[in-house]
Amino acid sequence: MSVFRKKARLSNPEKPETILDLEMVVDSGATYTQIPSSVLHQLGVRKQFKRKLKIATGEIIERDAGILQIQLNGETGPTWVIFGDEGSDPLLGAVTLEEFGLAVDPVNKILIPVPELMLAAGKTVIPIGPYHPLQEEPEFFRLHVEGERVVGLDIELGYNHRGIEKLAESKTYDQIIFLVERICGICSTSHPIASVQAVEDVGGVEVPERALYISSIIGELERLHSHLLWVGLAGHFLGYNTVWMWAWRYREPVLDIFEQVTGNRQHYAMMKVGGVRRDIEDSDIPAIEKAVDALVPIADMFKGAIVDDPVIHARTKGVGILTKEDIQNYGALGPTARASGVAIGVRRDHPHAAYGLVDWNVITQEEGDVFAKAVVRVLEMYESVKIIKQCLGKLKKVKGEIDAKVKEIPPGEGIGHYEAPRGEVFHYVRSDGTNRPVRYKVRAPSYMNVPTNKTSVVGETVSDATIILAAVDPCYCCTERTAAIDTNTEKRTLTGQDLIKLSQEKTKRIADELGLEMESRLQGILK
Amino acid sequence: MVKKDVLKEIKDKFSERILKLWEKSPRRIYIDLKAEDIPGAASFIFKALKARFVIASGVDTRQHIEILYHFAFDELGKIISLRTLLDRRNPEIESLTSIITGTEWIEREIHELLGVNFRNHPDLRKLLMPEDYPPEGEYPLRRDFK
Repeated sequence: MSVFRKKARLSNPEKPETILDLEMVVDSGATYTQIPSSVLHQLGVRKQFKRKLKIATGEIIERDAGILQIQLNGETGPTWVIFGDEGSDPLLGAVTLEEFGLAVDPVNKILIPVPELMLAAGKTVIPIGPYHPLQEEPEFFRLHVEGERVVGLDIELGYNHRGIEKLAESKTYDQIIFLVERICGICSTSHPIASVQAVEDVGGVEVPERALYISSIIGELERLHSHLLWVGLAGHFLGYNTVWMWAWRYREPVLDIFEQVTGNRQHYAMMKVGGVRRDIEDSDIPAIEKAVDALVPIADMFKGAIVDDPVIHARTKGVGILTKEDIQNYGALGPTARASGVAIGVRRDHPHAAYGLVDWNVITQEEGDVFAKAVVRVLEMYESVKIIKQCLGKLKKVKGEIDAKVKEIPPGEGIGHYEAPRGEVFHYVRSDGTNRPVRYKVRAPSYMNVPTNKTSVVGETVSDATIILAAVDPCYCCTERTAAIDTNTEKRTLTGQDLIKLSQEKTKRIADELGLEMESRLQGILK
Repeated sequence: MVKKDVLKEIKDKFSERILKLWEKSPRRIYIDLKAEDIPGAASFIFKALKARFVIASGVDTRQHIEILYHFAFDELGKIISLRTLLDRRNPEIESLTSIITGTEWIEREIHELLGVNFRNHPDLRKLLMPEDYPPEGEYPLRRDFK
């Protein structure tokens, strides 16, 4: 290593009148600056403390140390100094160089100023995702965290890009329904409803009335099971594992109805351009009525367990707020929009299927926080039950065809959209008159809802981040695959489990503060 | 509040600039505009008429790269789509991100899949596909993509 000298002006900060200029050896291999004791005595530097030092032979020695005022590269400041042996070279050590923000340039033999770092204490990046077995859309959130607070959010997607739009260009219209049904495992009938609507829009197809009721029944049953799924997961994230288990238990009868009516618990394959593929037999109706009636007390129970719970209030009220302007700017949809007082819903605004023919309400809340989103979903379950029961009633009276038997799709373009459990799904199709589309565009609701997290998560705490990210119901955002990595050491500090635990512990803390014994209370409600 | 006859307002405001207006049905309206008129029209529809931005979609028609901006008037049950045709050799249009935050992702996506350059977009990185596929200059939704 090349050695070079640098002129420094030394003084004693306690008696600054004596000044000494000295050529010092720049030695970034030495921790501290070191000057022969006689020189320091001349300046009157006091021995204030001792440092243990390792010397070249590996031996540990102890030396006196004090504080020296030093002028270097035009700047003056105090630094620690070791009382060195007589006759040794005065050394300019690493600590002093760092204090002055200087780096060694051994080639040109100069000291160069470098920008010094100022990082907020414990600034950390927390990656959330990208994969999680519960979601059909892997997403990757990178939370930038200062202490407990989230200061920034990056969202990355494409982990499960399957090229559905490109694939659709090589499929027939009949095949496309099965293709788009597989976009999502949870809203698996919403995409087919939008798809057949888009193709029907190209040709101006009139769909038989009976088919409209069947579409709506399937669509609302899906909304019921999807909202129950969300209630369960939200409960889990908040530490209400009883809610989780019970919500999913009551989701099962809904899937049983699907199996009975369509033959499948998921991917029902019910939609068809110009109608529906299967009829609902009169003999099936009583069983469906019984099952959806049984969901009303279940919805009451969750309303009691969640909507009226002071601990849930403490965890979710005022957390992750989205304003009406945010909703408008991001084009957010579904319960996410309705919880911020934006009363939109494709079912009412652009009535398709039987929604214009039955009586029901669009549920809205004004607050825009996580709590409001939960309330919207729970209350929407009652509306779904209402719609299903009315449609079943109509099915008993309106008989006839369930399929317009469409033979050809003319050239042209069409738009279809449907209110999926998470918001509007939007399909655009361009036909050239063959049996395959020229272009097929799909826009799922999470595509518009997920970017709102950039607004709702920033400024909140890490323990609230999971529930805020989950509040738009992004088909469950990889939270169990979360890991927190300390940016300085690259060491894993928190796993996904830890983050959920963090959230659950916060709930428990609030419950304890309120003097509530959580699980036993819930057991009481959930009977 | 959404005005009753939004279509008339759009016609009045952009009369001479509308290349073609097609009322496919009372609920589906397509308006063709030049690329340079898109920001003005989108801003009027989104900010003054308070429409909801639904999504944009692009298509390679072999002659042009066509972009459709879909807006929903939920209270009227209408979807109005603004259509513009871009030069296929050098498709370029002004980004709408400064007007509508929600256009950020879809413009990135159209850039990635159809090779449209959105001028003044804050971040035109790839959205869906891996960094190294497809190679630079190849766009999966173009007709000539192999």
